Amino acid sequence: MKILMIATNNIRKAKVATATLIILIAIATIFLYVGISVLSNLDTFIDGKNAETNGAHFISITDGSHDAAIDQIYESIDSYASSEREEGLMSMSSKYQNVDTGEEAYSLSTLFLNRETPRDISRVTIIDEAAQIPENGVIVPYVLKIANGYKTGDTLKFMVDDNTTELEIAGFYEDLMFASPSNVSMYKLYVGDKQFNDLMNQPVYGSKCSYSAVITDDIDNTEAFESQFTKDLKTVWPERTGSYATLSYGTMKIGVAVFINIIMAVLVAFSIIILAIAAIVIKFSTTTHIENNIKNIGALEAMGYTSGQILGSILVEYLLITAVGFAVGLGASMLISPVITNVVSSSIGLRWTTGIYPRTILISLAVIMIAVLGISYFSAFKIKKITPLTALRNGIETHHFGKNRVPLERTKLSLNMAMGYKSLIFNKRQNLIAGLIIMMLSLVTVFSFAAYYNFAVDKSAMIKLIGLETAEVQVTAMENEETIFDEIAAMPGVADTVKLDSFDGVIKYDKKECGASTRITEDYSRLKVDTCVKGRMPVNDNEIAITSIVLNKLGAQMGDTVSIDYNGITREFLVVGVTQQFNMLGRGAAITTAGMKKLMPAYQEKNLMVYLADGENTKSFVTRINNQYANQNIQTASYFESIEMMLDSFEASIKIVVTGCLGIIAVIIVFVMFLVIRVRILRERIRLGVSKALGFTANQLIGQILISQMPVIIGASALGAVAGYFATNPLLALMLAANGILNCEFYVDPRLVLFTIIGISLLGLATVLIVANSIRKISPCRMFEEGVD
Amino acid sequence: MENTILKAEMLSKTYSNGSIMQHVLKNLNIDIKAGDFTVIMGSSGSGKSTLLYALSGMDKPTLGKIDFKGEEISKYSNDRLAVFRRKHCGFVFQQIYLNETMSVLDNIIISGLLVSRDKKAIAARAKELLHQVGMTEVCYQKYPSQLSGGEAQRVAIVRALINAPEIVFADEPTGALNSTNAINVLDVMTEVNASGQSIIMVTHDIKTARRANRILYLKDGVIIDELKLGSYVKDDPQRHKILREFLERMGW
Ligand SMILES: Nc1ncnc2c1ncn2[C@@H]1O[C@H](COP(=O)(O)OP(=O)(O)OP(=O)(O)O)[C@@H](O)[C@H]1O
Ligand SMILES: [Mg+2]
Repeated sequence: MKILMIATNNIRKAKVATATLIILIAIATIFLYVGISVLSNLDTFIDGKNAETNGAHFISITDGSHDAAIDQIYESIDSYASSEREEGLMSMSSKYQNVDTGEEAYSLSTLFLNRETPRDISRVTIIDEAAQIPENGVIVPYVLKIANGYKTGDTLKFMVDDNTTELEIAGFYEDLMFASPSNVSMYKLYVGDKQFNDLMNQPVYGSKCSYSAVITDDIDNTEAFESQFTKDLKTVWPERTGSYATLSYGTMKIGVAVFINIIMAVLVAFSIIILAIAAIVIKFSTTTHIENNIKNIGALEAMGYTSGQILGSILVEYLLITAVGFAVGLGASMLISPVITNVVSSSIGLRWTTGIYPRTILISLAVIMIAVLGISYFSAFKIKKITPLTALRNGIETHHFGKNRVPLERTKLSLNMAMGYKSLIFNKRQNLIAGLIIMMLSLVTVFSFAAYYNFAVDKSAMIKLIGLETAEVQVTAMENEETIFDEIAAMPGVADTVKLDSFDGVIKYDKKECGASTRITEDYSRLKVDTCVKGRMPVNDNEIAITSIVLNKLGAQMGDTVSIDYNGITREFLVVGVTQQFNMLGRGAAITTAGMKKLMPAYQEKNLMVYLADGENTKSFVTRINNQYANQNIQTASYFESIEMMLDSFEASIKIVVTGCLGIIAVIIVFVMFLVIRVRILRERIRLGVSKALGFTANQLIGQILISQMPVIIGASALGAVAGYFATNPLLALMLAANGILNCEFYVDPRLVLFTIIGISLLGLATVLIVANSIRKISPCRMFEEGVD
Repeated sequence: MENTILKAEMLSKTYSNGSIMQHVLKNLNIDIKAGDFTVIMGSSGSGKSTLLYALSGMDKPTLGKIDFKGEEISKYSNDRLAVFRRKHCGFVFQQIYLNETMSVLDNIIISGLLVSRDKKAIAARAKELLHQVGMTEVCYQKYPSQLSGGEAQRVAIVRALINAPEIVFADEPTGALNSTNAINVLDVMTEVNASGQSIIMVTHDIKTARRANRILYLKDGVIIDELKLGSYVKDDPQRHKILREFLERMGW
């Protein structure tokens, strides 16, 4: 009880420090709890969702020409349990526009299924179902509601070339496999019997397809099912031109979760940074507390308190603060759960429900308690070494007196300069800790600004991380490639063209193998997006560059020789570079056209990336190409638009998160700066009071305070901001390391660094002036007699 | 030397701790003549320090007025008071309060620099005074927390004297000193006083009080009596007896 009394007394006296710590701990709690609860429950959540509708474990969409063979392959795979097949309509070059949301038209492939077909796998449960489903009613993926703001009753224009059909949104469905267009660049839409047959009867809208859904015995190994299936299918159907898509639950699940996992990992990382700031604040306030109260501590010890009891009182103090901060943070997490629900739902495309997770609460509590109490124990531990005598002599041991650098007898400094400078160097250690805090804050500020800029303003660095080319248009030609491609390259409005293909390669190394989307082009230096992070891109026909994810899976590294199988031909490639990409879950590789010709001598580039000149309209260009080559077998698609579309679906959640972080940082900066500066001025109140008594005016003293405080504030914010300039990309790469990202190239505007330094310094200046101004009115005796804070 | 230098009329000071009001000084009238060596005595908590703070313009009285050479300083702004203090007053604090960020010498010089720009002259005078109170050169570059209590007290006294102020306020300046050092310090004070500077000193020590030419006795915030002693004469048994009798009457 005595200890509790001392502790609560300390808390009462140190109001600002207590408030700051409570806020820091509360914020760390929010981030940690939200981050961990989403990260640790996402997997179970998705599995649960999938189980509700008996969601497919594997899906194959083909033109229907090999149905029997495919069924045979299913039967031959051990984990196969059951399957269902139905007829669908595949539309490869469709476009959409929701008339009611005012969005622009965008391209996305479509798979239409008949809503009235009875099915047992991936049953459709309709959300926000229209009271009366109209004849042209369509059930669309849930992500369109949460991320794009579609509503039941909206009119959705479905367009292929110049043909348009208007559909009315009659509800939404959840299906992991088709949860988000960022995962499969395809909508699965359910329409009624009549509408379905209408579309089927108009060949312009697409072609009939065969959609088959499989349930296996082992939901955790659907990727193995997929690779076995792909392998077997190759033998019976080598060219596989009519195979539109194979999707496995495992791959889709990772794909759906990848962005939210990154966001949550960033939140957890953020909470760790805040805990680090809290730790320095604790160190700062215990040091101050001990220095200010060293006489009290000595007196308590002289009275017979053991140093253990006093240490205990400090720990109890922080325990109470942590408990309050944690409770506040937890409460706030519950309050903001609608926002979290929104962020998670819109990035996974499934309706996330935020519950209360007792285990996560315990884990977060443990992490925060251990961090806070550990730090307070270590920073307060030196109390154990204080004997009553040293304590009562006012901490002789806490200062190491160097040489008197500015003897007033000789100095050329002005009086105020000399005094300010003396207190600056006298409080070296305090200044060091205060500077460290300000440095961290300034670093985090630059980092958050940079993150905001690159996520929300200029997305080119993000696009680079994704690893796709920034070509506006992609042209695929099945015949006359050479002529067509040369003609397109010479067209007005075309800035550049590059022939770039890709195929699903299987890369082998030392008995291990791993699938990788392998790119083929003649000269990688002509690509606009450089994905290489180590070594170089392939130049010769025996060279390959591979993503770090694939290399890790294979256990190979740069300089090793890997092999690729292609239709029975095996060729060896030397790994000359490491690449990175979010796209294809980070599984990628790159070889040259010459390299591809070694695998397939007859290989001919079929895919052309077209970069349009500035101001050229993508849509009209696509139409122009389609008209010009109307009787050739080519496909033209707006390429970059769909990447942007995919980025847009994350933009909302990223903006919420980043804006939230920026706001929180601003609050933290104000509080922590206020605390640090206030404590430093209060520490000096006796010195200031005596100086005032000796005849210094308030202005002289404020001048001295500025001289003793501002160099630390300006210096630390400058150091922190410059460190932020250099550390932003490495830090980001560290956070994204699990996604195979080794190197980020976020743009950090140097003006931002300057802005941060000036901003934090001004904030510091304002705080110093506000706090220092209070010494104007106080009489000298009050300053050294009354204990404050 | 009959001209009044400092005059307090109806001086009152009240502290309020929450709802409890404490009247520490009650309607005091004090007249300090130029060249006076005034000692204030009284039991602990009677308001001696409070009185010194008020008289030196360090704290504003709750009621009443204080005149310095006919100017009402109790009306001054804080900054004007600061300038008044640096020009006319020297102060020795009961708790000493040296600036712990500076060496002994700098602690003294910093006060001197408030009044004069002649660093050399100030430093020379500081060393001279330090020598007079028995401090050796070893101490010049030490920091306050490296000093003994008595050493610190002597540095504080030198700091108060550095500008040769017209009034020296000293709150128990010999409290931490042994008799030899106390005598050194008091000799310096007496010398200063002889050159015309007024001294107002709080003490609990009869030997120290003997130096004064007047003693004010404070009880519960009221001056209950005053003793006039005349100029200090060394080893005067009569002076000692009168003082002792006075204090016995006061219930000392
Ligand atoms: N800042 C303050 N706030 C409230 N009360 C105060 C304050 N300063 C002094 N007091 C009270 O005023 C009374 C007189 O205090 P003061 O310091 O003047 O006594 P003193 O005569 O100097 O005593 P001592 O001989 O012990 O130094 C005391 O009861 C003290 O508690
Ligand atoms: Mg006193």
